Amino acid sequence: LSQAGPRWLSRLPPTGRYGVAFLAVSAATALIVTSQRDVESAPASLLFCAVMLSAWLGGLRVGLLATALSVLAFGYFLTMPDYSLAAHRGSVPRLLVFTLAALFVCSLAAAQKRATQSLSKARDELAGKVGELQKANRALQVENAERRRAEALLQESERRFRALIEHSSDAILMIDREATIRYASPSFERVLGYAPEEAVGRNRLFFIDPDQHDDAAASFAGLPKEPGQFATLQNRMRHKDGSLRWLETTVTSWLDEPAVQAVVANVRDITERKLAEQALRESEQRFRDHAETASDFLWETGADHHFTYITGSFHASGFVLARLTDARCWDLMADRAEEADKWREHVAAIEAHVPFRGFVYRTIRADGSEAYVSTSGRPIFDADGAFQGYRGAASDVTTAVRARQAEEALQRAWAELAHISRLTTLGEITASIAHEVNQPLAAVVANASAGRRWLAVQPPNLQETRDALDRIVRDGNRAGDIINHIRALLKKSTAPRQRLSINEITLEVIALTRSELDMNRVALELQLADDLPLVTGDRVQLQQVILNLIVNAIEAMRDQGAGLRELLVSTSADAFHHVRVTVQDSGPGPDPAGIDRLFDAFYTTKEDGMGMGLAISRSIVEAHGGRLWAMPNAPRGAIFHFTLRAEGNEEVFRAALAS
Amino acid sequence: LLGNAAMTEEHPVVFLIDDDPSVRDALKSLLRSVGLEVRAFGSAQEFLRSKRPDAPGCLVLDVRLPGPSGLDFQRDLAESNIPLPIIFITGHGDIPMSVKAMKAGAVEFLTKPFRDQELLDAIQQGIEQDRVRHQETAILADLQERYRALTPRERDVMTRVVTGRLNKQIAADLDLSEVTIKVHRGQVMRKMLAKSLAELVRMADKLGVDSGRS
Repeated sequence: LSQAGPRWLSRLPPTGRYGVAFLAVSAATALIVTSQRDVESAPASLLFCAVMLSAWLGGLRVGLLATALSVLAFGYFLTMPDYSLAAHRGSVPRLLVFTLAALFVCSLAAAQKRATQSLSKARDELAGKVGELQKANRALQVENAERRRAEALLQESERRFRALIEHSSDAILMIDREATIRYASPSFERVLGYAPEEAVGRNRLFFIDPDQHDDAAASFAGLPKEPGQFATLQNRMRHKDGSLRWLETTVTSWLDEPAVQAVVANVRDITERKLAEQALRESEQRFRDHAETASDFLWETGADHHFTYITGSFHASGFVLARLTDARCWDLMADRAEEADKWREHVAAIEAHVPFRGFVYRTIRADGSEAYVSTSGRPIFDADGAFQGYRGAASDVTTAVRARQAEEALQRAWAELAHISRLTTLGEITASIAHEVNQPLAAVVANASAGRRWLAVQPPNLQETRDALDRIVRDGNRAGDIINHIRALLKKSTAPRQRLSINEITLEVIALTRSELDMNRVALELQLADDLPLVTGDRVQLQQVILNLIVNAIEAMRDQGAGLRELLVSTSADAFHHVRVTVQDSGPGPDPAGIDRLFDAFYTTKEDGMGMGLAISRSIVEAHGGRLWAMPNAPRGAIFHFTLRAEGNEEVFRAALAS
Repeated sequence: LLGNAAMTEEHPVVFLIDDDPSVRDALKSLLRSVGLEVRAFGSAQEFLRSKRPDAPGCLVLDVRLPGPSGLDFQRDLAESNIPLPIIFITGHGDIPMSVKAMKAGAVEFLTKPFRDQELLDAIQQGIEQDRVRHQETAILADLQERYRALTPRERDVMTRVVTGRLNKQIAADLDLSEVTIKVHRGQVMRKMLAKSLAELVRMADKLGVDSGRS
C-alpha cells in the first residue's frame, strides 16, 4: 500500500486527494455513530486513524484537512452536548487534547510520508544514474571495437603498401630538402645496384652522371612545391657496376607535409626503352630520309579516303593539292570521265578494302601539264580489325607511259603504213586498172549498141555500122594494151634486187600485222625453218605478197568464233632449193568450185574487194621465178603456198638432172 | 514567138562532156543512131565557150573531168542559171558520190560500162523535163508580152478584176464611171486573149500580178 497508495493517489486530481480526507473522516464518524456506545470508549482512535490515513496518503495538507474535519466531528459527536457544536466548558480540554493529538498524528504521518517519498526518489535517481552509466559503457565498447578494426585495416593497408613499395620494379626514394636520400626501397638495388642501406644518407647527385649534375640540380630545384603535383625527370645515372643507365624519375613533393617532409621519387630504368626509342627514331629518320629523297612518293589516306599524309617528293614532282585533307585519292584522277570503267573498278576495290597494285591514272601537275601516276596501296586495319585507310606508294610514270604511247603510236603508224603501202601499191594499181580498162570497155559497149541500132534503122546505115565496128576493134586493143602495160610494170620492178632472208621478211610483216592480229584475236603460230638459203628479189614486193596473204587470212576468219581464229605462218626449204612460205588459216576456206579462179583478176568473194590482190601477188611471185597456189585446209580454212627460187638453185637443179 | 517555140520542140539537143575521145565517139554514134542531135565536148570549158541553141536538151557529164570535177561543174551550172538536166556517167562511181549528185538534181547516175537503153531512157527523161520547162518559159514570155501591151489604166482594171471586185466597186476605186470600166475590161480580155474571167485570173497568177494592193 505504501507504494500503491501514492501511485493511484497521484493520478487523482487535488480535489480527489482532499476527498480522501472527507471520505476517511466520514467513514470514521459513521462507524463511531453507528456503533453507538460500543466503541465509545475509543472514539478518537478511529478519527486518528482517519487523520493518519489521510496524511499518509494525501500528504500534510490533506492530513490537516482531515484533522480539521476530525476536530469538527469530535466536537459534534463526542463532546457534550452531543450532536451540537456548541461546546460547553467541560469538553474544551478534551477537544484541545484531541486537536493536538490529531495534529501530532497528522504531522507524524506526513513526515513519515515525506521521508518515504524522498527515499524512493533517491532510489529512483540512483537507478537512473546506473542506467546512464550502463549506456555509456556500451558506447565505449562499440567505439573500441571500431578502433580495433580500423587499426587492423590500417595495418593491412600499410602491409600492402609496403609490399607494393618493396616489390615494385620501380625504386622508390624519399629525399629531403638537401637532396639527401632518406629512404630507398629494396628495388633500388635492382635498378642501380646499391642496397637501400648504401643509398640512404647519400646525396642523389652521387648516382647521377657527372655530365648531368648541373641539369639535375636545376631540375630538382625547380620541382613543383605543391603537394600532389608531380614532375618527370630523365637522367643518366651510374650503376654500381659502372654502366650508365637511363632512369626516369617521377617526383612528387611532400616537403610541406609534416608527416612526410620529403620528396617522393619513383625511379624506373628506361634504358631499354630509351635505346629502343633511339633505334626507332633512327629507323624512322632513315625511312623518312629514304621517303623524302625517293622519286616515289608515299601516302596515307584515312577511313574516309581523304589523304592524311603525302611525302614531300609529291610536291617536288610538280604535283599540288590545295589542302591535303580536302582531296580523296581519286580526286587526283583526271581521266575519270574517259575511263569511267577503270575508275569505277578502282573505287569499288578501295571501298572493299582490298590491296591494289600498279594502278595507273592520269593527273594534272600544278603547271597544268599532264602526268601519269602509278600507285599501289594496302588497307590499314586497327587491332579490332576496323578499317583505318590505305597506305601506299606512288610514282610518276609519265615518261614510261609516254614511251609506251609513243611505241603504240609507232606500232599504229607502222600498221597504217602497211595498209597505205598495200593500198598505194595494190590499190593504186587496181584503181587505175579499173578506170583505164573501164573507159575502153564502156566505149566498146556503147559502140556495139550503136552499131546494132544503125543496122536496125530503115534502111540500115552500113557506113555508121562499120565506123562503130572499127572503134570497137580500136578500143578492145586499147584495153589489152593497158593490161599488158600493167603486167610489164609489175615484172620490171624499179627496186634493186637484193639477197633476202625470207624469215626476216616474214617477221617484218608479222610485226606490221601484230596489232591487226591482236585486234581480231587471231592466234598466230610461227614455224620458221632454220638455215634457209637466201632468195633474190624485191623486198617490198615480197612483203606485199606475204602481207596480202595474212590480211586475206585475217579477213577470212572474221566471221569465225574468237577461239577458232588460228593462223599458221611457216617457212621451209625443199630438196630443189626452193624456199616455201605457207600461210594457213581456219576460215571458211575457198569454194572448191572457185579455187581455180582465186587468182583471176576481179575475182573476189569480199563485198568491198577488187579481186586484184591475189592476181597481183601471183604476178609478183611469178616475176620472182616462183609459184603461188592455194588448197583447202582440213578441217576448214585455206592454205596458200608460194615458192621462190633460192640462191644456188640452178646448181642444185643441174646436179639433180645430172644424177 | 509561138512559132519559134514549136520549132525548137522538134530538135532537142544532147550535150556530152567526156575527156575520153573513144567514149565521146561511141556515145555520139549511139545517140545519133536514135535520131538525137549531139554536141560533144572534151571539157567543161569547151562546153561553156560554145554557143548553145535555145532548145530543150540535157547534159551527159563524166564525173572525172580535167579541171573541176563533174560534181563541181553541176553546182557551177546551177549557180550560173543554166538549168540543163544532167545525167552523170562515171568510170567507178561510189554511193556517196551518186547520192550527192542526185540530191543536187541529177536525172541519173550511170556507172560505165552501162547498157545503152539506160542511157537513152535517162536522156529521154532529161529532155522531157527540159521541154516542159522550156514550154513554160515560152508561155510565160508570151503572157508577159501581152501584159506589156496593156495601158497603165487597163493594168489597174485587170489587177482589180482578177481579185473579184465588181465593175461598180472598181469605178469607185479609180474614180471613173462604170461604163468606162466596162470598156477597159473588154480591152484587157481582148489583149490578153482571155476567153473567160477564170482564164484571166490564171494568167494573172502566172504573171505574178500583185493582186493584194486593193
